[in-house]
Amino acid sequence: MTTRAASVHPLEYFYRYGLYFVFGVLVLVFSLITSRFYDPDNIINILQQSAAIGIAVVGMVFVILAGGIDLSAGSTMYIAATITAYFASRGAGLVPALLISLATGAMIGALNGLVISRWRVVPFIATLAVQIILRGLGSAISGQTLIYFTGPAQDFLTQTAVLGIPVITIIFLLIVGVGQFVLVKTSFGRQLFAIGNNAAAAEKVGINVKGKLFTAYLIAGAMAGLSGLISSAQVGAVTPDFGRGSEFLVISAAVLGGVSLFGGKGRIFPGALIGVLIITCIENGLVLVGANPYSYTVVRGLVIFLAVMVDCVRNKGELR
Amino acid sequence: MDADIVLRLENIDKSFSSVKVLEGVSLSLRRGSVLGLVGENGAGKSTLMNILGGVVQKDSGEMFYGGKKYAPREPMDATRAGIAFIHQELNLFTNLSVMENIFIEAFPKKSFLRILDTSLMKKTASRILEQLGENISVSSTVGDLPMGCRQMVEIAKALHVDGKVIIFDEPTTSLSNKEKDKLFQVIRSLKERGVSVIYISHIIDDVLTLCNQVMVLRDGKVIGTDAVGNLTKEQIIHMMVGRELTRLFPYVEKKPGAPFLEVANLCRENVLRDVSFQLRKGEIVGLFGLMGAGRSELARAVFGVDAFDSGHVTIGGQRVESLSPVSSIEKGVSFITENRREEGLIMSKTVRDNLVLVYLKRLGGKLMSVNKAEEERASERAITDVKIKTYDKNTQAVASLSGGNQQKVVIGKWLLMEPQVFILDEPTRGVDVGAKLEIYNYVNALALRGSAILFISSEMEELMGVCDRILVMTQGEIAVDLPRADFDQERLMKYAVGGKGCYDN
Repeated sequence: MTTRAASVHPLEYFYRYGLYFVFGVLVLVFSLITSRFYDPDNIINILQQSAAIGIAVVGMVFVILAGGIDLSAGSTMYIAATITAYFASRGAGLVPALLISLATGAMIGALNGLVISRWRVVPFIATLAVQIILRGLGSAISGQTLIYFTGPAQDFLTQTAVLGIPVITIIFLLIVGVGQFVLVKTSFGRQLFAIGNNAAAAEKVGINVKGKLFTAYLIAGAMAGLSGLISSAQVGAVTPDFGRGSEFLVISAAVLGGVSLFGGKGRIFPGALIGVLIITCIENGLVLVGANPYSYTVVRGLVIFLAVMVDCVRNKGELR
Repeated sequence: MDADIVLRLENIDKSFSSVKVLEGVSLSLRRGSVLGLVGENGAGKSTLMNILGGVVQKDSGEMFYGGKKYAPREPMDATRAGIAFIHQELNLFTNLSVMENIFIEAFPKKSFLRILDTSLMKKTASRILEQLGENISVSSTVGDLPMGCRQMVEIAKALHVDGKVIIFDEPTTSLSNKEKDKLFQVIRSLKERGVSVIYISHIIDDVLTLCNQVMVLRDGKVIGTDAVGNLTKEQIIHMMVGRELTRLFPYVEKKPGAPFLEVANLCRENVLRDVSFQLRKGEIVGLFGLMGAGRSELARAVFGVDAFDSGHVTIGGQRVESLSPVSSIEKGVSFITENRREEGLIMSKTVRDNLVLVYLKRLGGKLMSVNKAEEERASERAITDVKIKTYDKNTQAVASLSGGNQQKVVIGKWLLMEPQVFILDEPTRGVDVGAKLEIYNYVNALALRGSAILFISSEMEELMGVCDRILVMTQGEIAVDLPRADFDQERLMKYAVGGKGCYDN
């Protein structure tokens, strides 16, 4: 198909490789400003921070690919972290802690999935409502106070490393691998892409659209729960503000990585993974260069804005 | 019974809320043959195919498929039985590859971890496409392929699930000539492989070259079925329209005035081709054409809903520079769309709210409020003018009115504006005979008061009944402008089917 190769729009190159370019420039700029940025300790730090948010991003990609959105991710992280921290600080080990966080998240994801697939509530509103409810519920459980996260699970997650790579980074990479495998190599994954492209047609060819949507939200919930466990373990505590607004970081990392909010387009690897790294590098870099703390939210907002704008321009008027 | 008959329909009846859409329709389809199904818009072709596909259920009659009784309850039943539909709009996923689209319903999996068996998919998909004589790469993304190739993918999908009957519904509308030839070749090869095809099209020449048999539907009844060799194009057209003007159409003699709306050289890529016409004051001009001829698109462009590439519109002697619905309404143009449910009415709102919707600007009271007394008077006037049957205009939602009354609300809404130009797109669709007559009367009354009217319809006899002139559109251009003296059903149909040059040879 020589004609096809010739007709690639110049902008298409930007869409394809712009992500790596932006990431490269970002690393270069921060490295030039401060040598602390490329310090091995800081790189480990970035990898750990990426892991915490990145796990939620993997789950979010499933939902966005199917044409949905999960605004409850931040609150899910909060409530899962609160419950897990409570038990972990009272001696629950690593495996129980992992299971508790996953199960809490999965239950919330199942609720989202049920409301959206069964009762056809618009995902934006359904998950926004769940977000608000969970935030209140979490505050009630914690009494709006700081909950310390100590104990064996926290020790393991923060202090273990294999060949110098922190264990949570390994967990994250494993999840990236499994997520990528499921989306690319399994029937479930491909059918999610189909649903995101044209849900009505998917229904017509006999795909169980409701079931697949439900599963996608369930996965997103479970991943947000796990992500809550890991980022609270890093801090060693769950603050009342924990996870507030995190869903936007998660969504923007996915969208930045080329996962289209219109559904049906995008990949976990390398796309969303690079998106996660860009977001964490920006946050980390701003701290290192001593930027005004108030500028963080401005930069976050700009990143979300740019990511969504590129997504819209890229996928506008596309023949479906 | 003939064992060669794959599909047989017997005495199918179907009504939608007391309107008979199909009456005693029978059909039999031989193995490895192509049956052409033709008929005017609204003749019942789509309903018949929807029954076959399990989209709607028949009221009575029997269907037999492969010698056994066949009664699909949902579209998947048809697919599983091996009856595949290829619609104008394809059911493909543009973000997936060709082979993924072919296998989407049931991917082949390896036993290890239930991984997709990509190599098997590749092999099978390539084999099917090769049989179709198509050399597209099975791993290319469907969204990158031209329409003709996409259709081949859809056909491959049908063959993969062992389709024994494939139904093509107007498959050539989005194809180039070359792609069309290719499609016909493929359909012929399907025939040789024993696949049976039902081919629905408005293009009679295509039907004559491609099909073994032609079946003509009119008003929900089978007018005739015959081998292609026994029929000429003229005969088919005659069968499609051949009926007397049985219903009453009130025609009023008018004295058209000066041209009021002029459309010059309107073009829009692939939709409108150099369209020019004028409407005079006090004149009713019909716009006829088959589905997809571009009638509604033309009306939308003139009203300013859709943009166009070149050309211009003149209203009342003034060339309109930036055409938009707002500017059109200000200049006295009204437009009744064909989608009254989606675009013409706010279904959940009351009769009154709908009636004064466009008129609101003129109801200005103090401090940008709405003058309630005037609103009351205006809506009451509209209700008496067009005789809307409502128990309470202030509480009854439009959704609960009958189709005819809903349409009257739309008309009443625009009548309040005292339009100079009235564009009506299929105003009588889904409306009962009595209400139709009333609608014709309002239109006549408006024309007598000096409005210029563009009346779009698929019903030829209604246009012949009420219009002073009829413009016939084919493939985005105006094929002919016929004065009332030259009205003739077969002539209109011939232009609608064959376009400008249909009398050339």
